[in-house]
Amino acid sequence: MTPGLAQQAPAGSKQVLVLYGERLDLPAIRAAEQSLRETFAASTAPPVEWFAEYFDFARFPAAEQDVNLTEYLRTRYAGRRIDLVMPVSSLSLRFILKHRDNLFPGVPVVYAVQSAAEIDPAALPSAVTGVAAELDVRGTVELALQLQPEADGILCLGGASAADQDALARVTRVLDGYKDRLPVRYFAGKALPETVEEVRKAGRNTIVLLVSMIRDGEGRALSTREVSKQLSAISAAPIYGFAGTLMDTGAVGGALVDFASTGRQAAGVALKVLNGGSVPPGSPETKSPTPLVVDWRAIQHWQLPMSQVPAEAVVMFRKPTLWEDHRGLILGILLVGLAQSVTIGALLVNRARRRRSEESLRESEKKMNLAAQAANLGLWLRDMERGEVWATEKCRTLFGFQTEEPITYAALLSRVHPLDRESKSQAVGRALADRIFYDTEYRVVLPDGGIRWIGATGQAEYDAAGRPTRMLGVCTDITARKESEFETHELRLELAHASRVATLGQLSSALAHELNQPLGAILRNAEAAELFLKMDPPDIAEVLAILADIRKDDQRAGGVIDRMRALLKRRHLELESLEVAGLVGEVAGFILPDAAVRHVTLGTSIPEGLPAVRGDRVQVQQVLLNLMINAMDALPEGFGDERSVVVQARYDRGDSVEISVRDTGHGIPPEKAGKLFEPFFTTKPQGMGIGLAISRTIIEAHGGKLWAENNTGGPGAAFHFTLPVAEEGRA
Amino acid sequence: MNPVVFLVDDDASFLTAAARLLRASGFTVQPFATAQEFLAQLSEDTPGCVIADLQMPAMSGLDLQAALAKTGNAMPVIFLTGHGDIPSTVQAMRDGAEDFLEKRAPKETLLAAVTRALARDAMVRESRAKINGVRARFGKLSGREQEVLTQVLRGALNKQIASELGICERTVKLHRTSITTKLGVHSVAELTRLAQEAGLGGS
Repeated sequence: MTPGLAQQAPAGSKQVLVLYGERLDLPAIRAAEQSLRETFAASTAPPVEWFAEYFDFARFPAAEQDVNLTEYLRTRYAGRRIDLVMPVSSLSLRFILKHRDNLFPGVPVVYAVQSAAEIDPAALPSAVTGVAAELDVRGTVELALQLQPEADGILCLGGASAADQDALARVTRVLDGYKDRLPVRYFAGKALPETVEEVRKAGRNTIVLLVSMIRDGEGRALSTREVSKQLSAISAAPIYGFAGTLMDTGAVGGALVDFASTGRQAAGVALKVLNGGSVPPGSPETKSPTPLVVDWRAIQHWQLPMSQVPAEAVVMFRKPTLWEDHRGLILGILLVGLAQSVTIGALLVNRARRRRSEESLRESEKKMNLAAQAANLGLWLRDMERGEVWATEKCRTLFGFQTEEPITYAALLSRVHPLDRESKSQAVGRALADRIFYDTEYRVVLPDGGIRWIGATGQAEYDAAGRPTRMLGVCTDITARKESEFETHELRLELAHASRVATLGQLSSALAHELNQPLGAILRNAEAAELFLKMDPPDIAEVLAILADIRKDDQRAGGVIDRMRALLKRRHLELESLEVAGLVGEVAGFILPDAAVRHVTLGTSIPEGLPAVRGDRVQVQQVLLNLMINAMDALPEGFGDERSVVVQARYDRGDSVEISVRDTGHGIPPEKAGKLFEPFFTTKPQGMGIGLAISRTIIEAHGGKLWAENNTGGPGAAFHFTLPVAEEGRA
Repeated sequence: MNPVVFLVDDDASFLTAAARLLRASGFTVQPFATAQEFLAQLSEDTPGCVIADLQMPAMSGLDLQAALAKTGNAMPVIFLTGHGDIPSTVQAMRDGAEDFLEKRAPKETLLAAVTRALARDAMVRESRAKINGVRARFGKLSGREQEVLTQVLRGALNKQIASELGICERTVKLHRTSITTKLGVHSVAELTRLAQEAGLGGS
């Protein structure tokens, strides 16, 4: 140690070396790092100078790095006086316990880890203490069981790194105690795409437990937070976990380790130790709490019973309803409205008193307007008998009515977006029937064509005979909130490309088969050629024939790869003249192996002399592929029935060719026919419901149409699309 | 008769290539593009083995295996697959597949599998031929001799056989001599073993 260097530190300051076991970009590490930094920076007694190392043990296992790391630390900190070492994560704690005598003999160690279970306070060497958060496995599982009393199984997910496996082992020990109540399935150490697929397939009544995943089975560096986001986007069941970083990812929650508070607490212990204090391991201040935390939005999303959330749980991201937000105001306004309606009634009865009533009306209207404007609410009153509506200025603006324009309920309803009219009327109808408040959201089409989202609530008054006489209510503009919801929706659409990739994943076995054919032929030919060359005399003629065959098979394999790459690419339309027969033949060839395995007869019926069509080869093939795979999926299981998919083409004259994909499957149930082409509509348990929507978009971009119908006089359905005839092909 | 390697694959270029390799390695090869063509020409006594692609349209490798088992010539089947999927592998193995190879398995693996399959076929044929030979020898026995044989195999003494069949002990002895001569055996132990080989009850 060089005394000169050691003196560089300010007088009286203490030097702390923080050893992070994982990468800084992990949200958990970032949270811990930030609270450590803040606590140290704020400390004046003593002032702290700190150094940090990030080992990334998930990708560079300690076992392989031991020598390098110790050498590195020794060299790097040789000139420094280190007063305290802080391992963050149990892997770096293990590392420092192993090498402390060697690297920092006698230097106190204060750890921050998220697993108290593996630390035996009694077994720790002297001057080693720290803060640990015990994974509260039971806490999370009990929460899940309360929220999902009908759960039929637990799917437990974990990663492949040593830290992931440690955590999973601890969870497994506790879950063993639940085996009698629920089947527990583990899916750990697998590739992320496989994990995603597994979660997508999980039943709605599954409890998905995401333990931790900072590296997957294929070596991807991940974070549990990132994984939770991805899983939540597609999961068929609610997700629970243990990491505080799960919040705001779409996961429901659990007994979560708060990495920030663990870090803060550990920094506090470190300061105490630096000041000569003693904090024995296992004492209360070394235990970091794991509070129950749930995401209100996830609870709503999964329609879990809010009433079952334990009282001590922290509910995050609760979005108050319009009613909850303004309960007092709404009640007040309704009372004023009642008085108001009396006035209006009087007005309508007694025209002679009109002027004075109007004055009084304007007066109280002004008062209400003020109150309502403060809350940005519009008020309205609807006279059921006359169909007339009275509305505040704000309310008129919301619906796009002029100040003096008379409003009828019919006019109001006509402003409501056609697609929302039904649901709004139903909400109002229910409220009238059950004598309750209604709370509804709908779009309004403004006279200038603009769209505005309205949140509205209201209630009716009834006469002695129980007939509703008036309805009173408030409304507000919720466009901004809806827009942010749409952004999420847009994000989902980006998954479309991902789903195309997933479709190819399903085809991968067929692809492997197609590639292995030519590659296998090339190999066998090359081996045979060797033998022919070794003959005496060598059979040159045979070898030449072999070489020609090898060249042919090489091109064949290249063709398979080109087609696959073309399908994976995202791009714009590249229109060219296409022969329908060739187009269909290529796609049929592509899925033939798949069809053979699934015992599906694949047929094509393309009449001769069909004019060429104009289109983007790859995109049109993608549509065909999608329709053909759908058709195969629609076929009933079992071998007794006819299982066939036929592609036909037809040209009647005019300027388009019609191509049809016909199956002998279940057909399209009438109640689903209207929704087929909506994004996210799917009848397949594992489908994303994106294929048909994308297919229609593609065909429409070509100037064609895509539609579906059930076969007449036979089982199954047919999907038809048209493509314009290419100029040169026109008769 | 030379054993034949029957090669069945719907992929023409793989079929040609694999046939070339096997021929150059000294095997007699007959290639077929479909399982039906192969089954149609298969004679009852041709020794050999089958190499079949698992994934073929119309009649898959598994179907071929099932159909082959029903003919009188159930030779070993080696499956080739572009991509080994577990359910079909399990099914094929359960149905007695000789081997299961990826299309691009090394030459040595393929040739070793063929050699093994042919050896097994030869062994099965040999033992089948042996049983048939032994059965033929038993077939030469007269009705009375077979009755006596049955008693002998049960472990009955001459005296018991005589009383059971209602003949004198001396005649039993004569029948026994005739049986051992016809079957070419020298002791009761040898006789029992032979009877077991022929599938006749020894107990």
